[in-house]
Amino acid sequence: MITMLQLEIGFIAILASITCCLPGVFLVLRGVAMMSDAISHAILLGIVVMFLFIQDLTSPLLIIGASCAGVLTVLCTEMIIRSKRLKQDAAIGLVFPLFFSVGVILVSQYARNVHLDSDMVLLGELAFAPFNRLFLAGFDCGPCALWVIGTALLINGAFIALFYKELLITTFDPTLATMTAFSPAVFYYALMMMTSITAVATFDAVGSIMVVALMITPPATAYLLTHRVSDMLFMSILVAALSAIFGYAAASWADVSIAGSIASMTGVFFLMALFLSKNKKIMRKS
Amino acid sequence: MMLSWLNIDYTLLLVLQGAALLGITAGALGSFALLRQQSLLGDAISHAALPGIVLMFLCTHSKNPWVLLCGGAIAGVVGVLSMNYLCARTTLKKDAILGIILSVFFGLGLVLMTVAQKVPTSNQAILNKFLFGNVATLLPEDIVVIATIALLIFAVLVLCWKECTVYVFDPVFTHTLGLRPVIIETVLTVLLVLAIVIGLQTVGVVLMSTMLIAPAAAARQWTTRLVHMVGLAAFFGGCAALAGVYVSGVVDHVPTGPAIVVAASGIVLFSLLCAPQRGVA
Amino acid sequence: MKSISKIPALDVSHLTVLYNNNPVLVDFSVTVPQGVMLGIIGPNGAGKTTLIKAILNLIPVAAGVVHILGTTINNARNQITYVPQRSSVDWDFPVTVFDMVLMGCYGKLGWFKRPGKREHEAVYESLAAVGLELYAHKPINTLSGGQQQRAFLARALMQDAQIYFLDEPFAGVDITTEKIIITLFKKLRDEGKTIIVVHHDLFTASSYFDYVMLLNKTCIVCGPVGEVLTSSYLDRAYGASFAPRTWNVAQQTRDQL
Repeated sequence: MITMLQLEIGFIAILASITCCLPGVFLVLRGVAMMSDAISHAILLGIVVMFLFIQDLTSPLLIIGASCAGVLTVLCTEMIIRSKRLKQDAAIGLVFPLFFSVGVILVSQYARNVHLDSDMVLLGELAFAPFNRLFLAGFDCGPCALWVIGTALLINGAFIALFYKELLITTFDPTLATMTAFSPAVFYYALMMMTSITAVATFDAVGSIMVVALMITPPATAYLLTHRVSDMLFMSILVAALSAIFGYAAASWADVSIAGSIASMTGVFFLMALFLSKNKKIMRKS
Repeated sequence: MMLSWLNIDYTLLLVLQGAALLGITAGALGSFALLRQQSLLGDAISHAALPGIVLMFLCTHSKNPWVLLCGGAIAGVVGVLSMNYLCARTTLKKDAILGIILSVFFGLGLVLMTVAQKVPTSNQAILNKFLFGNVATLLPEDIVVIATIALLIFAVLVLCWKECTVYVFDPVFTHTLGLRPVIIETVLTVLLVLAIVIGLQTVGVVLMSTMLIAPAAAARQWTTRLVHMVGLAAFFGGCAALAGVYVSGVVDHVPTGPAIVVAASGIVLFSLLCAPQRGVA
Repeated sequence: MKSISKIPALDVSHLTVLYNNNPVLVDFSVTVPQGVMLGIIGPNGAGKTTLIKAILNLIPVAAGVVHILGTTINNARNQITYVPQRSSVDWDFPVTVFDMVLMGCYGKLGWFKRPGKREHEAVYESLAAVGLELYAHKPINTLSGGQQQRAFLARALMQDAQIYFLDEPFAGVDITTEKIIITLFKKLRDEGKTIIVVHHDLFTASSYFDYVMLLNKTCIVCGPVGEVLTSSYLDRAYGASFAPRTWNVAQQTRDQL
């Protein structure tokens, strides 16, 4: 017998998975998948700084602060890359730990008694998500997380639907994009903004690690199995949702960490795809 | 004496020694990682180590960090092998492979951690320390182990210096010289895993990549000769570690790992801004 | 032949491009009329690709002015198409040949709008023009080098431009592809379009193109093939190491083929 609580948690998990894998597809295609790791760690700084200003843990302004931190991370990384003094991987590996560390130090100094610790950012707490509910005019509209993540999902979905061909061309062939007056830079930052919003919207429920797992692994799984970006998007959504469902089910049954279970489940599906695509000879000839 | 004037007690001294050793070793090794564009490999390996640590705990119920770290090292190596396999057999790019290994292994580690929480003799705190590092629990025996590992790493580097340098600059050329690139690659990877094993004690999983990359990135700005770069990176790493630990020790509520990262990043920033112009990377 | 406007296709004045403070192009000036097939030739490192990228504003320019069809690059964008070297794209990307060629119409469609039936039909026509109809729905990672080049060309055809810039389209392609490309170029030129090609091989230039530009950091000469490919100009382009005797032998061999 599945309880209402379990249904809500499961639904939040599925929503979070799908929301994450959408920008993840383009991160993987662009070859900047690790930016998801960078952004999901760096948002801690944005949250802390915003919290120190407004002293309110439940305000939606926290999301804005975190999104800014995400975009700032990307900007700083790009600045370093453009200076040509360091390559892309080094730039990424330097900026986000600094932001995260400053965030952790600020928390230790000024926000010690608040339920805002780095553990939470990393691990989230899906099991508690339904207890934080949204009340509008006295009506229980369901868990807050549902609304927040749902909004992020709408934003991601709308953006990809509206700008599908622009995203495709700026990812696949930036030179052609430039020649046809679509700016690759604009779409790069738009993608990073989408990633930041997604990471912020979902981290409270699921934590950074699950965000990274969901942003990278289902798209990578789909990449092994499909030949077209549109198919890759649908396959990613399917794999992400299935990972959420089976991951949560396994976690309930074995009484283990839900986020960890879902992250592991994305790995299981990836392995399955690895095995399947061998038969289809998608793999690179060695 | 001087130490008490600086507010350094015996515990802090131990921590300083451990951190300095880590900083020097990670800095030196990080030079190779940086030049081979494997900066994020340290991040991935340290995340991948978690399930190994927890599994080792579940098997041995030991609270000795070094026993647990053996498990971490094994998991780290498994992670690297998986990455190499995926690189060779699929058209996935390196960044995606790093991300997959990092998050899936770590997720597995989280699952195992919650399993471990149910074991009666478990100590959640020990496992948590690997996430963010906690040098406050270093004992003199630990310093000995760290120093031994560091010495081992440097010994190998010195012995295989010319092989490592050639391989870093031109893997294909290395092959034509009759040296097997695979062997050198394996050696460097094993050294990296060992350095990470030390690092997990000090700065923890999340911030390990900085310890490897920041000193090397800073050193890169000042010199173009590898031997100078490695030496300078070791120096910067040691300084950052000492500075971070010291500040963390004397100022209240400043966690060690993040303090070291801030110090190291400061050195990088200074180098990026102030080092005289050098040739293209 | 369609009557061609007198406005030059390309008018470059005193173009200078630096890379890391080293001059790659110095005081480069040239005028190219419309309706020609132009081959840009020069030794390696002479700045051929840099010239194209500078003209198209893909890299920063230290000095100089470029006019395309009498106006600036930004105004002329929808009249130009650029086919870069094959290595500029990731051929493992999950798109089919159809998807890739369809991208050629995105510029004309503009923001938000989706390609429709007309665009889809245009893709099939372009693919037919390069002999790739049977590959339409195959992923691009199944294409050979020559087929990749042809797919690039099909995409360029979609843009229906006045001027075509191509970077080494003949490098490493099979004979079938070579023939297809030449036939296509000739057809486009006869329609009054201008084809500007960075070519990798001096010895085949005379048979492919009717105009040739010799460059080595600056423009040595640009004009009809017979007037330009003489030893004095070639010496200036390729330097003292250039052996006129080798050229003549190659020229004769080519003519015999």
